[in-house]
Amino acid sequence: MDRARHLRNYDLHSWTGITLGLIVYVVALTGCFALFDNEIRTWEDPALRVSVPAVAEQAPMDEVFTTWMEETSGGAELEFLRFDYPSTYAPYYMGMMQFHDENDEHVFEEQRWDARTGAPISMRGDGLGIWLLDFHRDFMWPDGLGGRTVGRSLVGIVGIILMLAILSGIIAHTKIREEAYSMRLKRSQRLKWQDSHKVVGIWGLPFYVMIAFTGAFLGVVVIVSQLIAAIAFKGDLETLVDAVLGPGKTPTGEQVQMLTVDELRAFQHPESGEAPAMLIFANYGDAAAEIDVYYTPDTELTTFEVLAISGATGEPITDDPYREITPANRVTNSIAPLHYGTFGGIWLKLLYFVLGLSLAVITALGCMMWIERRKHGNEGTKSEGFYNRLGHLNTGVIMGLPVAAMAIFYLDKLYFGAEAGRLAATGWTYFAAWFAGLGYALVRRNDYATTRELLMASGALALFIPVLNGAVTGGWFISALASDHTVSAWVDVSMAVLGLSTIAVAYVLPQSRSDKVSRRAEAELAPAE
Amino acid sequence: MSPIILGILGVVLALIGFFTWKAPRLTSVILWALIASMLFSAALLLTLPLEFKSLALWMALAVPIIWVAFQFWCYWDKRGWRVTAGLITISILSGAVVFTTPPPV
Repeated sequence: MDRARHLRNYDLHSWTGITLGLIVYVVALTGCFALFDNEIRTWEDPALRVSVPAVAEQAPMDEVFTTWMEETSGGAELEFLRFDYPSTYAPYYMGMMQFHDENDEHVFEEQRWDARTGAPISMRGDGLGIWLLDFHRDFMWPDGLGGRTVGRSLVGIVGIILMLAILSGIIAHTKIREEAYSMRLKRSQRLKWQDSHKVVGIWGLPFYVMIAFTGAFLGVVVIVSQLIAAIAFKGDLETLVDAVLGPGKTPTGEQVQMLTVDELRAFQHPESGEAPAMLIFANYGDAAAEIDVYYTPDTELTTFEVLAISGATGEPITDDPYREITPANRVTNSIAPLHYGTFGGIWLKLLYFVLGLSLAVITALGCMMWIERRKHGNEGTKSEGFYNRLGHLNTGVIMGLPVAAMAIFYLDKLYFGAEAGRLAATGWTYFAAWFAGLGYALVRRNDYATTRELLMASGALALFIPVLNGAVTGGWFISALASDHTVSAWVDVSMAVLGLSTIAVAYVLPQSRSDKVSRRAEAELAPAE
Repeated sequence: MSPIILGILGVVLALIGFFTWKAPRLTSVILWALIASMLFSAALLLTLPLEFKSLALWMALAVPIIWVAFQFWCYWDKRGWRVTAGLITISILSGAVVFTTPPPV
């Protein structure tokens, strides 16, 4: 490759990294927590820390469900109706519906019921678990700025930029085999960062490619695919939806007796023998009613397997070409399990956690190197003070985020306001802790000490999470580990281990710059990239 | 179309033209690669001889790859102008295909 092309490619890698590097870092780090969404929600809500009763002990739900549906909708035509059976992470029955009210507004309602008694359970407000998952998925983008679709697209664009950074990074590293084993720990600080960036980047490459592609797909496809299809259909979205999903079945107007949710529980999957996990109804109560019965999949690389049946007779619907599972369906269905690591149990998720953390570290190192090169190398055009402030800002954003993530665990357990305000309080706490970290970095003016101290603070916060949980809920992890529901106890144990590891890492980090390499000497090493 | 909207459109087009002239690679990587990938994908969606439902899913999977490939090309080619011209040509040809091909029913 000629030098001009190499430099252009290197510029592309460098600029994609520095313009969106911090956002990639935020998405990567928040993604590490989003992996354990189900576990964290169980930790969050003590009502979920129960095991699922045997089917014979579960309450019959038909009357409860239909009464709730009729009373809540007031007889309005339902646009969406769903019923969930109890599961490990949601050990209760749950109903959801959407309808148009008399003011022509979309109304969404949900209710959960005790699995043993069928009694209504009050809904706990969204908070910690939803924040950690949705901040990763869509930055909790506010409705006033376009809503979650905009946020999700931005996260998708981060995936695109990460793909571009990976591609340009691979091309930039012409000696990839040598660099995979090159760690010059006794040289300058920047060389240590540079080697770590390369070594970790090369070894984790297959994971990073997969996570960037699946993330880009999950984020961008929501809006871009619709846009492309709309261009192809010249704005005729109705024809487009019909072409992809098939024309919706229109109600006949003839009322029929539907199969009940208790009868539907017996509809085992014909091949796997699994019991239904969830039902989605269309044209409820009409002769044209259809029920999509969702099962835990036989193959792991899909979220659910779906069987469509007639709502009145229970006969499988086999003559609908739009329900046929094609290879394209299988590939697209595998994207979410691949991205969230749901296909291989808890150990795979832990591996994802480590690799996700390494992606966050690579991105952070990339940003630090960019500043360092300009501060001590020959690439900078601004004053040293400018790069110092940029360094403080960078350190504050990077090191403030783990503190913020830990702080909302405390908010969750110490919150005393209305349940409706829980999510907002979580958000305010998150940003307050993050800004506090940023402020600390700007006041401390020593990026090495700031990194060490904020890492210590994050570790200490994580370490005391089990104590907080035990003191507030009475669910001490030692006794919970011996019970029949150990999920929240394992969250406590993981947090304690994470806290100790973080403190240990912080302990070995330097308090200040250990090398005094001159600007010129550093500059001479730069083209080795 | 109202004169105000026409005015705004004119200003936007003039700005795009100005930035394309001043920084062809940067404008291409940010804007032209996105426009070209969307129109090119739409044209493929209409012309490839596959069952539409499957093709729509395959194209959804291909969009991130096509987009990144066009972005990468912006900095790979020796001449910045050649990339911009190429992306604009792809956009125009794809747009023509989209305009002249009826959507599947």
